[in-house]
Amino acid sequence: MLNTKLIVVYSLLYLGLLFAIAYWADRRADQQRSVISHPTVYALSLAVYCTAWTFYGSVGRAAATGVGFLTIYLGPTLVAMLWGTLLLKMIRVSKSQRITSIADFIASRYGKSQLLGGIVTVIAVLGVVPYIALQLKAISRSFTILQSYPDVDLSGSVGTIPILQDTALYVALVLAAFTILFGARHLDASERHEGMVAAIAFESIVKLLAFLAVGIFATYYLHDGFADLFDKAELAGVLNPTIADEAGAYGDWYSLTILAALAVMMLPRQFQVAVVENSSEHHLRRAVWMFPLYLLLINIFVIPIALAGQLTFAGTSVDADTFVLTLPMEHDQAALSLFAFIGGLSAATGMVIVETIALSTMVCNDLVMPGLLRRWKRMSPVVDLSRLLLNIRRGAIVVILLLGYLYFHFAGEAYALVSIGLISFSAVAQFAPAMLIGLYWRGGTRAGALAGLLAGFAVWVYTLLLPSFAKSGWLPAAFLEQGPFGITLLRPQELFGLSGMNEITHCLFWSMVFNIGAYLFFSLKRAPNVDETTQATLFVDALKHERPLGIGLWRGKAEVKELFGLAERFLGAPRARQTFEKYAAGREVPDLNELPADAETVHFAETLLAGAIGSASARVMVASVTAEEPVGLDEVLHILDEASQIRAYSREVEQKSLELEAASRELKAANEQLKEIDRLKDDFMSSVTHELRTPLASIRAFSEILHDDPKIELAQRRRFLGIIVAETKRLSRLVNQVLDLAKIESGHADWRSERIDVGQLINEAAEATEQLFKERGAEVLWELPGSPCTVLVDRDRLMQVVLNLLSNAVKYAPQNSGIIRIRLQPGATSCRVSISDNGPGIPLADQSHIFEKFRQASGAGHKPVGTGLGLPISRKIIEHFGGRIWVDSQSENGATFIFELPVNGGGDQLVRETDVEKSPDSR
Amino acid sequence: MGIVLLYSPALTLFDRVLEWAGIPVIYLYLFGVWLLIVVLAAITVETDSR
Repeated sequence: MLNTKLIVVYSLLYLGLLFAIAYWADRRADQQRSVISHPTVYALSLAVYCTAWTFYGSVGRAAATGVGFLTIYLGPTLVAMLWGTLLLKMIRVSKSQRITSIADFIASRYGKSQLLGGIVTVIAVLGVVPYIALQLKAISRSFTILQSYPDVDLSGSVGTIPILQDTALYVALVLAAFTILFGARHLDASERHEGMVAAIAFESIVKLLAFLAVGIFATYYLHDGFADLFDKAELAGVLNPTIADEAGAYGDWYSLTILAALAVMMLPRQFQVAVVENSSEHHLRRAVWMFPLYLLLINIFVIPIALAGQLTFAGTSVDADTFVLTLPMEHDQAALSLFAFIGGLSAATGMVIVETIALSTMVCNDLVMPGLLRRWKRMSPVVDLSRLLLNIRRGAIVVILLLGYLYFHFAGEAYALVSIGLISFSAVAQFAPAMLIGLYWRGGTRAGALAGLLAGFAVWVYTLLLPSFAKSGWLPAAFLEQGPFGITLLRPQELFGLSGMNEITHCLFWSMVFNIGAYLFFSLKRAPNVDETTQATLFVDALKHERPLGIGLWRGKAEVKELFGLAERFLGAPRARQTFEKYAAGREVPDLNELPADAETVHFAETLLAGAIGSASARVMVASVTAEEPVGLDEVLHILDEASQIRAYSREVEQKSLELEAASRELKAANEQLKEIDRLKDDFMSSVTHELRTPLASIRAFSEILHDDPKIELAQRRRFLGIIVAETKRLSRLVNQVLDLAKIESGHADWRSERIDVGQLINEAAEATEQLFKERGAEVLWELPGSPCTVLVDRDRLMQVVLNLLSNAVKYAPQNSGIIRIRLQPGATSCRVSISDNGPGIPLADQSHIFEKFRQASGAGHKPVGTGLGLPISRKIIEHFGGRIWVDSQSENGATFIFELPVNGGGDQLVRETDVEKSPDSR
Repeated sequence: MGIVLLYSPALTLFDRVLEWAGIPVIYLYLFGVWLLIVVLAAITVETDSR
C-alpha cells in the first residue's frame, strides 16, 4: 500500500506545502505583517541545526556508543547560555554593516579583505559539501527503504547504480529547484528570506513531532515504557549505560561538546538563521531557552529507539542509522513509517535549503564578485548587474547541490552518517578563532586571521579529509598506516605520535593548536593597520554604541550620481531609487541630486551595496567611483579617540544638566516657600491691625463721649473710664505679645537654660492665678506626683506657657461651676503636663488652627476672648525646648491642653553638670 | 554551572551501572541537568525582561 508513486506524491505534496507557507510568509512580509517577527518562530528556525543527521544518525550513534551522542546537543545548550551577549554582538555588528554571511563577517572584521572572504568561502564549501551529501544520502536511502515496504530490504547499495537511475540525483535537482524558489527568486538588499524562515520553523515542528511519534511508538507500543525497555535491553546485553566504556571516552565527551558548541555558531546555515534572518534582538531572549529545550525534546527518545531497534533487529544486518524508519516498517505501521519518512525529509530539506542559500551568497559575494570586479576594471561591465547577481546565485545553488551529490555518489558509502557530520563540524570550527577572538580582541590582523584559517584548514585536510579519502580507497591505505613516505611521525591520525584519541578529537586538538597559534603569532607580529583598526573598533565595541561610528573615517571626493548609478546596477533601478529616496528623506534633502556627497552618503552607499555583493566587494566598487584620500593610522586613532572623548564629554554634559535640574528644582521650592511666608506676613499684618483697631475704636468712642458731654454722671463716667483703662491694657498686652512673637520667630529672643522642677513651677503659676480662679468660682484639682520632674528650660518662658494655659482654662470654664484639672506625669524621657477645663470644648475642625496666630476657638455663641496670640507663642516656646504641645478635646466635655518636654532638655552629661552648678545663681 | 555538572568529575559519580526506577542513572542525570539548565535559563531571561 506504499508504492513508489505514492511516496513521491506525498513528498512533493509536502514540499509544495512548504513552499505555500514560504509564499504566504513572503506575502505577509510585503504587507508589513510579518509572521516571522515572533520569538518562537526565531527559536524554531534555529532548530535547523537538527538535520537528517540528528533524525537518523543520533540513533545509530546511540546504538554504537550509548550516551556519547548527546554531546552534539549539550554543546549548543551550553553555548546558548552565552547568546545574550555573544550572539547579540554578532547581530548588532551584522545589522550595522549589512553583513550577510559568515565569510562577509570575517572579511569585514579584518578590514574588508576580499582574500579572507574568499578563503572562508572555500573552506565553508569544502567543509559543508559532505554534510549536504549526507542529507542527500539520508533522503535517497530512506526513500529506497520505504519503497520496499513492508519488507525491510537494505541490499541496494548506492554506489552500484548508474547515475541517471540514482534517486539521489533527482533529489538533488528537485532540492536545487526548491532552494532557488525559496532563496533566489529575487535580489534583496538585506538578504533576508522571511518565507524561508517560516518554512524552516514549520519543518522544525514536523521533524520533532515525527521523531516523538516514532519514539512513543517504540517505547510505549512495542514495549511497556522506559523501565521495561531498559530491562529487556539489559537482558539482551545491548544496554550501554556508561560513558567511560571506551578508552578516551571522556576526552571525546569534552572535545565533541566543544566542537558542537563552535559549530552551532559557525555553520553557515546557523549564521544565516541566527544572525542574518534575525528580525529583532529581543527574539534572542526566547531562543536562549527554547532552542535547548527543543534539542532536549528531540533527544529524549533517541536511546529508546536505539534499544528497541537493537532488540527487534537482533542478529540481522539492519543498520542502526535506519531504525527510525525501519522500526515502524517492521511492525507494519504504514502511516507511521510515512510520517517518519516525511520527518526525515523535513530535517534534510530544511538543512539543504538554508545551507545552500547561505553558501550561494558567500560564493557569489566573496568568490565570484571579486573576480568579476577585477575583470571589469579592464572592460566595461554588463548593464543589468542585479540579474547577473541572481543568476550567479542560482548557478551556485545548483553547483553546490551537484557537488554534494557527487561526494555522496563516490564517497558516501564509506562512512556512517555521524562521521560525515563531524568532519563538517571540524571544518567550520576553524572559523571560530578568527571570529570569536576578533570580536573581543582588537589586536587581530588580516595576516593573523589568514594564517590561522589556512593552518587550521590544512590540519583538517590532512588529519580528516585525506584519511577519509584513504578509507574510501582513493588513496593507498599505507598513507594512513605508515604515514606519507613511510614517516610514522606524520601519520595523519596520530600526528607527531599523538595517539589514543578518536580521529575527531585528534583533528580538533591539532587544528586548534595550529589555528590559534598562527592567529596569535601573526597578529602580534605586526600592529593592525588603518582598515583593521577601524573595523576592529566597530566589532569589539559593537555593544557600546547606539549608532555605529566610523562614518567619519572616510575622506575624499565622490559624486552622488555615480554612487547612485552603482546602486542602480546592482540592485535594479526601482529598488535603488526607492532606497536612495528614503535616505534623502531621512536627511531632509528633497531631491536625490542635491544629496551632499559626503562621508555619510558614501557610507550609506557602501553598506547598501554590501548587502547585495558583500562588504569587501562593496568597498572595491565604491572606491572605483570615488577618489578616496588615504587616511593615516594616526588620524584614525585620533578620530576614534575623539569619538570616545566626545562620548565622555557628552556624559559630563548630561551630568551637569542633571545637577542644574536639581538646583532649579530646589530654587523653585525655595521660591514657593518664600511666597508662602510673604503671604503669611501679609495675613499677620492685617490680623494685627484688625486686632489693634478693635480696642482702639472703643477707647476712642468712650473718650469722645467723655469729651463731648461734660454733664455725664460720675458713676457712668467711672464705668467708661474703666473700659478705657481695660482696653488700653489689652492693647498694650497685644503689642507686647506681637513683639514677643516677632522676637521668637526672628530668633532674636533671649533664651536661658536652667534646670527646674516642673511641679514646683506649676505650683507657683497656680498661686499667681489663684485670684482668677476665685473670681470665676472655679475649683482646681491637682494631680502632682511626689517625685520631682526636672527639665532644662527657660524658667520665665515656661511660666508664661503655664500661665497662658491656666488663664485660658479659667476663661473658658463655666461661671461658678468650673473645674480645672492640673496633672503632671513624669516619664522616663519626658515630662507631660496637662491642663483640662470643663468648658464648651473645641470643635474638631478648629483644633488644628488654634495654635495659629489670631485664631481662636469659635465656641458656639462664645465671644472670643484674649488676643489670639497666647497659644502660638506657647507653641513656639515649647518647640524651642524640644517638646510638643497639642490639644485633646471631645466637644461638650471641655478641652485638655497637653505639653511634653524632654527630661534634662536632651543635653549631654557635661552640659547638665555645668547647669546644675549654675542653676542656683540663675534662680 | 552546566559546565560543572556535565564536564567535571561530578559526571563520573553518576556514570556507573546503576538503575533507579528501572532507568540507568546516567540517563536520568544527563537529562535532569539539561532540563535544569533550560528552566534556569528561561527563568533568568524571562524575568529580567525590563
